[in-house]
Amino acid sequence: MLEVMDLKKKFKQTLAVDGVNLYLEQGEIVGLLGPNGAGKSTTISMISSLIAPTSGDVRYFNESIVKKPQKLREHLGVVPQEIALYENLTGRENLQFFGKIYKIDKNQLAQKIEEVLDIIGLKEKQNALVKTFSGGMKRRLNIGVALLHEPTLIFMDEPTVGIDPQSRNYILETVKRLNKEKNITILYTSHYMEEVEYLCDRIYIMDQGHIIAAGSKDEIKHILSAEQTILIEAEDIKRDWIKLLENHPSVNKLTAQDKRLTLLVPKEMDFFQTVIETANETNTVLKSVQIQTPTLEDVFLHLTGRALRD
Amino acid sequence: MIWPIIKKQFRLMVRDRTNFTLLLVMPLVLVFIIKFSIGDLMTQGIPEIDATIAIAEHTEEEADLTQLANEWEEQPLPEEAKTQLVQGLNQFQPIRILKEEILGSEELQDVFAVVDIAPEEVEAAKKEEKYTAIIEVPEQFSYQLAKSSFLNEGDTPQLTLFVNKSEDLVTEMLQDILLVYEEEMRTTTVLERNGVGDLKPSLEEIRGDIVSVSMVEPITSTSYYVVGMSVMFVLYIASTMGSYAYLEKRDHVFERILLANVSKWRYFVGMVLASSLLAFTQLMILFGFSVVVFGVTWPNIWQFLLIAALLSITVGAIASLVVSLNYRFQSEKSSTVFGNAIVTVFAFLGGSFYPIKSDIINLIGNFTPNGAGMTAFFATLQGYGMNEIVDELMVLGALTFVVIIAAVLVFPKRGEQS
Ligand SMILES: Nc1ncnc2c1ncn2[C@@H]1O[C@H](COP(=O)(O)OP(=O)(O)O)[C@@H](O)[C@H]1O
Ligand SMILES: [Mg+2]
Repeated sequence: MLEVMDLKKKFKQTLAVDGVNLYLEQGEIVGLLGPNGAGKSTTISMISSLIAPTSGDVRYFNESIVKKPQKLREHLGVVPQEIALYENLTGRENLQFFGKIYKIDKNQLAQKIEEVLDIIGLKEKQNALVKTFSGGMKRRLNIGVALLHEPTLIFMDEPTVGIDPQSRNYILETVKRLNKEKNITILYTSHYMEEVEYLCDRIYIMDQGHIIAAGSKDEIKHILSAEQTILIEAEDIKRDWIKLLENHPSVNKLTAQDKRLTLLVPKEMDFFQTVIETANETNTVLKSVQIQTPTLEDVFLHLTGRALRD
Repeated sequence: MIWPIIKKQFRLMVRDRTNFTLLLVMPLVLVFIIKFSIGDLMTQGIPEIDATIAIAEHTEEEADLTQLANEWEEQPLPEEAKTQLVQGLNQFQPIRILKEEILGSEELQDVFAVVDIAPEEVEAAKKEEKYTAIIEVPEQFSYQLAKSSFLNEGDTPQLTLFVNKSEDLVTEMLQDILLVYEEEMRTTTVLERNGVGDLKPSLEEIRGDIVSVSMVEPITSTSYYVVGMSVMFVLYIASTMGSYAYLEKRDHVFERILLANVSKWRYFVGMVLASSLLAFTQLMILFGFSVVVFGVTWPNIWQFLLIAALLSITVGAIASLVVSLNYRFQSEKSSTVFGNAIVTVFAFLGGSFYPIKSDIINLIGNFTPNGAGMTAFFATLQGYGMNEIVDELMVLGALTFVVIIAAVLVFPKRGEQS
């Protein structure tokens, strides 16, 4: 239903988005994963018709939205990365205002507001001013506002940043439910790979304006099929031990953090022996050695040499 | 979809305690403070009409009229006509009527003091500027006037009005009065000659015409500051609306509005209307409160409402310019500058703080929205009609037009903003 072709956006010096291609099929939840500054929000702004692309095109049911965004807007709900609400209005007043500017008629709106309050679990707090809301409640209302006009397509830009795990779980469940029960197509942006991994059918991984990997969860993880991740915990991680491991011909990537080491090594290889030997050589007391199935985090590490979260 | 925007702006305003206090409580508190501290000190600076008018007669009315009566006696006219003419003449005493029945009438005697001076004193009096105005009655005035009125013979004689330049208000009043007077004296006597009615009712008419002028009330310091503070504080609506709009932009609420297929211009119009209505509401609350608490009442409510409405629309236009500037520069600076500096400068120029003596500042001040509004409100408060406030209303209209155009030009077009 939505197709993005070679999309670029240049802000003065920065090339925020550099040739992004992606598509959404009806009923999918698609993830857009990338670290801060990758260009996710800029991409979302362009495909929701809020900023004009420097070049490239966005097509909604085969029609470009760049010049004629009205039709897309009618069916699109956007949950912005920011809390785009009136702090000095109550939850209900916010819903009323946005409902009215969507031209929803009065009776229908009252009903719709009840429904949305149910979905986002804010029935009890609907008459409190938004500025008294917790971070999680604001995030939920931020989503609720995007649901009023019964969109068939929703873009969510990091809808869970900076909130407690409980609210976060609630939101993730809500997203899943919206997709399952109402067959809403969702583009979900995040820099938390667990979220994307949990929610999405297909995933785009974005970095520095580019899509660096795309496909289903399994397809993406397959990128790592040749490698395995070894997670080591030790009493103390010494520099010469790190040196030894780094110089080992089989180690593709190594990251050290406090008392933990992460290694990427070829899959077939039995690396346990090497770990134990080198530890002994440097008098390192090992606490645990684990082989991990790859995560999206690992994929990102593999593709960029950097951790997703800096 | 403009109404929800307006309603929302009202809600935001009411919830915004600090601003609410600034806009409604502050001006009234200031009036209180001024009223009870400096009090009537200020009244001196307020124009009050207190004019002395000198009348110099180069003629003797009685002698003039006697001469005419004698001439008519000698005319070869039927006796009946002669009697009628002389009877008419007995009621016809234009100078006495001017002095006693018009300038000296109950309605005008508090406004004008009338002094007789000798014709020789006129030149000296003009130089000294001792009198607000000097009316010179030419030689044989009554004689000529009666002749031209009753028999259509000869020219209609004219009174000469000399006015001291600094007294615009008095000048206008006197000119009006004399115009009506001369007109009436001529036409009514023509009618009189034809036997329709008598002279008395037409004198009532003269007074009727000038009675509105004579109703002029002095402006008390309380009403001065009620108006001064109201027209100043209504300007804060513009900076407040600018700030709210900036927050909408910053918090991406504006984008949500656009996504609802509400065009930028609809939003823009919503802002202008909301600001105008808020300004009008604010003025009504301030003036309404002043009626009850300070006893500042308006002789002509419709004229008052018209000025308030027009001033509110001008404020709406200014608000849209501040909004546009905030959007263009993606900052709240324009609101801050307008609220902190420009309002104060405008208020000073317009005379909200104290009456300005300087002619130049007064002139400039009358081109500020608050200054023009204030002048128009004062005139209305004093009982002047629409004619006296046309200039100010035009200034407000022109300001609205220019400012709206500027706002539209400044408001970022699609693609100009990031
Ligand atoms: N309005 C803007 N003006 C200039 N640079 C911008 C603007 N918006 C985003 N950028 C830059 O573009 C890059 C991508 O930003 P963004 O799309 O917000 O990334 P993400 O959402 O993935 O964190 C960043 O380097 C950011 O600084
Ligand atoms: Mg972002």
